[in-house]
Amino acid sequence: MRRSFRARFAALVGWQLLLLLGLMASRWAILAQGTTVLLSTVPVDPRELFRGEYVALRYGISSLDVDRLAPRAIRPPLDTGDVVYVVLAPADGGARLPWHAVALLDREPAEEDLVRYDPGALFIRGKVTWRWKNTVEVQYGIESYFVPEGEGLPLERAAGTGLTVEVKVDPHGRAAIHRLLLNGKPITRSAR
Amino acid sequence: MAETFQEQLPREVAAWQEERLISEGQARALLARYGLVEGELEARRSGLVTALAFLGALLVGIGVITFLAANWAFVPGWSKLLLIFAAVILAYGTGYWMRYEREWSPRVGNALIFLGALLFGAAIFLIAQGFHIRADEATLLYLWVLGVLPMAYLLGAPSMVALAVVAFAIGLGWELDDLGAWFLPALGRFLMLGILLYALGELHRQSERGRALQPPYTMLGLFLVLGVLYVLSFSWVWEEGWGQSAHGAFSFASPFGRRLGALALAALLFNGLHWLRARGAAAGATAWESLGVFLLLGAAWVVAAAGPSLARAPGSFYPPAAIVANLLLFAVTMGLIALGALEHRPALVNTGILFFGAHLFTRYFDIFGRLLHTSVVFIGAGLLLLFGGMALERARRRLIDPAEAPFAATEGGER
Repeated sequence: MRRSFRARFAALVGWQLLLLLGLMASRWAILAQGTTVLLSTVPVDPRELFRGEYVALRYGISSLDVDRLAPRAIRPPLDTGDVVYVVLAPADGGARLPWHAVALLDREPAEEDLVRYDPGALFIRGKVTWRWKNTVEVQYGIESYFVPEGEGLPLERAAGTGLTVEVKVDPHGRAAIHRLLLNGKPITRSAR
Repeated sequence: MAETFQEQLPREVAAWQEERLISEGQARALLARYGLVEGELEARRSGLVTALAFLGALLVGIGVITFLAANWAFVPGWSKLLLIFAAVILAYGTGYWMRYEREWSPRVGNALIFLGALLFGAAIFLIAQGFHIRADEATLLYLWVLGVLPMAYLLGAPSMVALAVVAFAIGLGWELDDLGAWFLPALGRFLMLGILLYALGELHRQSERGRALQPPYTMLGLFLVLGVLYVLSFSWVWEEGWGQSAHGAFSFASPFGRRLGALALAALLFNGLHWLRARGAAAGATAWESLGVFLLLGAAWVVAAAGPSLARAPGSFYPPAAIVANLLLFAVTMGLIALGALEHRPALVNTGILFFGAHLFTRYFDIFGRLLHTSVVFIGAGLLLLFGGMALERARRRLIDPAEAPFAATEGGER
């Protein structure tokens, strides 16, 4: 009886560790398999909570003007909470320049659909958080960059306009932050 | 040698009980007053040990969380990860060993297992920090619930249920914030969550094993329901033009609305099951309680889905929706007090009276504050506190079976 109870307890501790490993594995998978995309960003409003200090990142693709995207982009109705797929294309000058949004779709695009927008296009999955007329705010789950205590504000001040984020995007559009770049150079802890 | 009072009392009490002068509960209360209930003093002492041990676990947990949150650059990421994994295993392992293997300090063992659950949450947020997962990602909290809740049921640990319920409620708040939820729809959803938790608590009360886990569900559910109704009872909540129609993400048809619908259906189902299982006199009370749950769910739906449109009330003395909310709050507190008195559940009576008092006092200031001179308002408020408080306390004592009073304040005392 006691042995079986102990086994169940151990199994539940194992279940919790498995959840932790699963969380890590899901992010590792994105970082390992994902395609590298560069996004321009502006750090806003560093906050310090129980979860640590981080800078809230706002991207060029966070706010989309539906009218300025490709004609195949979805039209209303589109509501907060809806999952959307934003097609991204590299800048003309090369992949080391920030990518931009070319279309907003309500379903995962097929490979052949993507090339119609741009030969190098890919899509990123997001959630609509706000909509007003033709402007749609989209959240991609990559809006926080955690920094050691006390480094959030200096980062915001130093950033200016040259801050970009290297993001990995997997084939299903899930994104994870790889690193932060200031004027094209990676910001590492030792560098800061 | 003359018999002492302490020796004489148990015999006298037994005789009074036999002659039906006092009830079993009153007999126990009389004996407890003089420390003559077997194990009662020990139970109080162990309650203190439990409280101290849990406080210790909480402080250590918060310390570890804030240390990790500081994200010190000199500690490499992998070593922080190893540290937190080791801490989770160590807390659970030591707690289990103390609680179940050696049994020499079960309360401290319980607290260490609770610390393990806190550290598990800290580990989730450490990983999220390392991978820069969005800080307000509700999934992280739901993951915490997913890990902790099965453990709570295996161990029959109400503290872990409370942790899971609070984490879930915060997650819901984050999700609502993500959706840019306006004040009223958000309140409607928390009202629904409160009703669901209360119904779940009542269902747990039906079985011997479930009873240990019932208090956090019932009490957190009640505080959510009454807290939301209390906020809704203010006129300013309904007078603001929130500028949002009842469409989109907050409509009945939206994915979020459907999920909330599932929560409401679950609440009805749990309460229905509770009703079906109730026997004898309790069945009558449960029928009224079910009616209350049903009406409240309706109100929650209206507030959650159509709240912003209701807010456009004309600038009358009191907006009609606020009057309905006041009546609901009054009905729920009265119903709760009646249910508590009928089923001898002091926690329900105490909660009902607490909110009734707060409601009364608030409305006094709300209404008379506009009509009377400030000095008169304060004198009236003082008198209301003095005499109203005294009357409420007398009513509370009368309603609670004296037998239950000494145990009313403890977590396990809620029945």
